[in-house]
Amino acid sequence: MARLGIDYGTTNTVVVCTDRGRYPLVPHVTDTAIGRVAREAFPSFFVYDTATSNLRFGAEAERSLAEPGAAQRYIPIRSFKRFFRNYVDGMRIAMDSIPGGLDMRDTFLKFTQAIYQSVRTSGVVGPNEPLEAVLTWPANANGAQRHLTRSAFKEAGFSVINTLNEPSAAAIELADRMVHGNRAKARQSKMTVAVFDLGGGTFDASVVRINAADYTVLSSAGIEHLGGDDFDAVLAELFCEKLKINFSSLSPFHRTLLLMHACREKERLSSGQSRTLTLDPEEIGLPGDSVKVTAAAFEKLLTELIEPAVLKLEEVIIAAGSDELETIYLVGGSSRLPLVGKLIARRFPKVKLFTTDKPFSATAMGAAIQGVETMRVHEVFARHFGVIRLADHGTREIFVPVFKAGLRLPARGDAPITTEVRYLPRHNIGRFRYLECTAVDAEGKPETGLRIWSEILFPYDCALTVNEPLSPERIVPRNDLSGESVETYTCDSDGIINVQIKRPDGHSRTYEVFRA
Amino acid sequence: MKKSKMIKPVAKTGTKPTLKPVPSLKKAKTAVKSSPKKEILKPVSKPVDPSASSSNEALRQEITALRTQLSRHMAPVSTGSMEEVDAMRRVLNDLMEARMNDVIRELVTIRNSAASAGGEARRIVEQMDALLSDLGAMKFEAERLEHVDPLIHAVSREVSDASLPDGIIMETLRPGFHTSRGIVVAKALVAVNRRS
Repeated sequence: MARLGIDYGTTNTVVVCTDRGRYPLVPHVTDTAIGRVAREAFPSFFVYDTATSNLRFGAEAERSLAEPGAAQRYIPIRSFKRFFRNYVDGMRIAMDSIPGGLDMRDTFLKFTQAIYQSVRTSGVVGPNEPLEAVLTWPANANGAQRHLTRSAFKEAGFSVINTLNEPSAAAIELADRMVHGNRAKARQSKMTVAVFDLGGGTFDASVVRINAADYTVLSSAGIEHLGGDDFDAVLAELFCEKLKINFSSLSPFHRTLLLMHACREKERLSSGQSRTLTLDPEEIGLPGDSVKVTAAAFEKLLTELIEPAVLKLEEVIIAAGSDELETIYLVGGSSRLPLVGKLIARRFPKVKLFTTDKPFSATAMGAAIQGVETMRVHEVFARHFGVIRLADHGTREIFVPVFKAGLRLPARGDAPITTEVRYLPRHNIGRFRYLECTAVDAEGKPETGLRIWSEILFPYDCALTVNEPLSPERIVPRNDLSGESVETYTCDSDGIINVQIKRPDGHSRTYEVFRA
Repeated sequence: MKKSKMIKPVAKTGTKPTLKPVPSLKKAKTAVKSSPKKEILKPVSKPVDPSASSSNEALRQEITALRTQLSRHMAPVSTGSMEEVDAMRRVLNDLMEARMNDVIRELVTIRNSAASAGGEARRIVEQMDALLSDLGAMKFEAERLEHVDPLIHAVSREVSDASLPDGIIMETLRPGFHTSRGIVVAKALVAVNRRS
């Protein structure tokens, strides 16, 4: 049995395994003309082959782009994870060049199967060894995103034994790093740390109090649409300005190649190899002479993007209300940009900044450690979850929160949080429209990060059976129904919500909210 | 709501992130410091038998004495819990590998600069190749007429030959290097054929 920590990222997916007190990266191995070559991460991008209607993943996807005629044959798809925030069951990603678009769940399942195969062929695990995994996801991931991630990895063949928010996993890794990998000492750690996790697609900040084997998230928030991808887009636009071309007028193929090149140049800047960013357009099949962008020009534009993340970190620290904060831990590939450390240090001059030489693997390593040790991680619910109900005799709709942001989630193995809502039905069929949001206004109305989930239709009328197929057209007002229906909501340690609806005759049905 | 002290914005600029010392070295230093005898290892003169007839014998005795002294210094490390020893080994291994790959990358850069200079620098290239080989870095070149593989090749020049297929490698301009564990630290630079 192999225990793994898996960090599915927007740009790369990192897998770390546990090996007798060591936590080595599981390499992504590919056969080449010089033998097997290994990489520390599995690229999260893939290509759609218009000739065969198949998808190619990992190194094979990268190879496809170098084939003659690739521009006509392949459609590269980067940052697939960014589509997750709008996911509902049955969602398809519309693409002009792909008839009917791509089924999101099916596509992600194929991606997780490719990761499973990559782990199997890495040489690190045995051919029939069961693969147990601890998955990570962004702290501000919505319920549907969590559900999709967990179910796809399970279907691919991984046995998902636990899940963690990415900053919490990073905090576990930090406790390990602070004592130089001495697990006995790590289990005695006591500190409060703010994790600044700036990845390829999302930004998360959490304040975590570490007390021996207890990891308690004091506060958590994030920005759904901020990460290295946005920085790549800024640099790509700068290159286009120099080349006097319009980025949006490029074909999807050339746009992707340009973004990938921008990403490589940005990484050279992050690693301190260069202060000048260069593009030879011929390398990506575009005409023109080589152009250069200075780091200063690039960083000037990046400052506007990074400052909201620093402000969000400040909000999270204030919300945590902890006077014991000692360290800010920078993780995620994009936190390697020198500008990020500079802006945070300017804002928090008295707090120690802690960086790592492998910011992209910290999360997966924390997950792997969690997979083999007994520790209790207490996460918080990062979003408001509620239902839209009719009020004032059906004249207006109101948002009724069921679970509010900041709610402490149970540790794994503990009983889920339960809340009960009683309701006097006024229609033969109840129509439940669930909603998540990142913030509510002063009146309690959803304000930002709104997600409306699929509807649930439940028969209040006892003449109907609870499993009967229903449609909104069959809803009619009824004033003769007696007795209250009871909705029992449960929220588990992953933040996934189930609802059981029970009517007065005792019949009930349970729904996983995001699978409705 | 209580406000934390350290979140006040301050005009101070340019403060760099705190970088921690290399954990393994710090750990090793701590282990040695906690040893009962704190003096550093030094040549031993006392235990050497003055009547030793040859200098070889004196040297042998000195080595034996040094070994004893070393064992005494290392005792606190070796008597630590298995977990601590494993942890130290793990950190050292990981650091060694990461640093070695960085070192190899740097050496490859220097080697390539020397190769570009040509002339007398050719001897430096040979020495660097030998050094890289000693460090476990393996040199590779692309085969002429094989297809470009972006995992191991980087295209840096295009040539045109209408009689050959598009996108095949015509020449290796600079060799690549990979480690024994298959990490490509430098891709081979190649010239490819473009028929158009």
